[in-house]
Amino acid sequence: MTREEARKLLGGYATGTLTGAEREALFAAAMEDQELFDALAREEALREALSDPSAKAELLAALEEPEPRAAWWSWRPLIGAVAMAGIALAAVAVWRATREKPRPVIVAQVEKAPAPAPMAAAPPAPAPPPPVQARPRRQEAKPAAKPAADTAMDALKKDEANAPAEAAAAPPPPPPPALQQQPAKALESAPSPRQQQIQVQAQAPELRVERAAAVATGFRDAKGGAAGVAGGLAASNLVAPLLQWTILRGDREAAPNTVLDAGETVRLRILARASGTLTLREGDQVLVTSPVESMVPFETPPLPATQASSRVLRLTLTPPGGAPLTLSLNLRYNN
Amino acid sequence: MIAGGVDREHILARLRERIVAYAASHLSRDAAEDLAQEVLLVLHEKYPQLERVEDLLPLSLSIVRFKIWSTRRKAARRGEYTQVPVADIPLPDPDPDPAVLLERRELRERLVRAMATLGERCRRLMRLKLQGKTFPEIQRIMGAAAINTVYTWDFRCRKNLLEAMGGDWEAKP
Repeated sequence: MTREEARKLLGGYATGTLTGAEREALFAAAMEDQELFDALAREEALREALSDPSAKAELLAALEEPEPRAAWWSWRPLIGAVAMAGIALAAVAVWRATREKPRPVIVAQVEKAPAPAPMAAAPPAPAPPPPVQARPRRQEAKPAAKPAADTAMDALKKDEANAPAEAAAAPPPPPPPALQQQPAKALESAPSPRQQQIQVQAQAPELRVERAAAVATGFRDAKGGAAGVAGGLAASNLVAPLLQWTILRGDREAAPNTVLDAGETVRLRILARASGTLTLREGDQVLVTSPVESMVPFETPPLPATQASSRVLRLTLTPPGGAPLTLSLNLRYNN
Repeated sequence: MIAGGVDREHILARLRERIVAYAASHLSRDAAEDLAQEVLLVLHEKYPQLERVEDLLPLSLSIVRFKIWSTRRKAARRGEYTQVPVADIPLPDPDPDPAVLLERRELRERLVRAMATLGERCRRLMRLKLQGKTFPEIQRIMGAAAINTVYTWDFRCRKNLLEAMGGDWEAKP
């Protein structure tokens, strides 16, 4: 037994609980080590006290009592920790509440239709409505429609992530402040002979956003011609619809608001920002249906002209497992 | 027998060195020398049959403690520290010294208070020791893997107890 180990036997000396070997080791070490001898000598007082049976019994009785409960102040570290945890939880709750993701805003915009060259030869048409820019209208949906709307918006976000360059290219311009105060109904009742409707069809109530057709849906920067097409394809993140379309006059691409020649046969180029099944209807007649891939242009077969000066087609994109999205297309002919 | 006598002489010589060094930390050097001599005298005259260090050392420690205490009392009685009128010096009493009794009682009370501050393991260990259990027995009872574990526990518990009592078993004057 080393000297250090022998020192650990000191506690057994006063209580007289050392075995013979332990005593021998302790005393032998004490004879060699003055410090240990002094420590042993100091233990003498305790040994003497514990040699009294009554004193030993009193100490035993004291040790039998349950350990005294810690005073309240000994819990201070725990109380502090609990308080800090509570504050942290509250902060997280507040942060989550304030971090609620902004609801998507779909901007409806009515702009004065540019006067393309063919319009000069056209018969007098009703005067175009004065340029009206509707304020941004917050998408409203009843609670029951929220799951379907969320599904559509999720698909929108997913596709937006696929086209970040487009998003960066055309940030949505803020609406004029003066018009922001107009009620939403003013937009819906705005005199506009050409309107397109985007209908996000929910299971119960409909989420409907109307937008003027003077500028084709999603082609916010469209000024007509090729520039309009390019601008349309660069629609902003928030307002970009899931469906965009242009007119193919032969191999040339034209803006959706182009007034076609009478009897002209055109095709449509459709760009879906989500994969799914595309269906083009005119009335109850299905003109074409085809699966489409996200961001892969789809061109319809030639659409023969009719006698009507204006045709309304309905384009529906049905994402797999999602709510169908319907877009009304308006083809105008110079009859 | 001769070998035993040589051993005893060797042990006593060693004891004297240790006692002088220890006593010198409490008394003057001369007083420490005298005290060691008195201890050896007692061992020589009253306990000539003891030859082993396991017997001689604890006995000498008891004598040392008694002698130091006695020396201090004598000094007080002689007025070395305070002058006391002769009429105030009490007559010798065959009963235990009240001062000793008081000292023991105070030590006992301090021990009770200090033990109340120990942790559960120390309290259990101390309880077993006061019940007379040896360290190997305590090892079995407390389920320690090795006897050294019990030694370490006891060493720490003793240290905690000593700290709770102010660093010394005896109350400082």
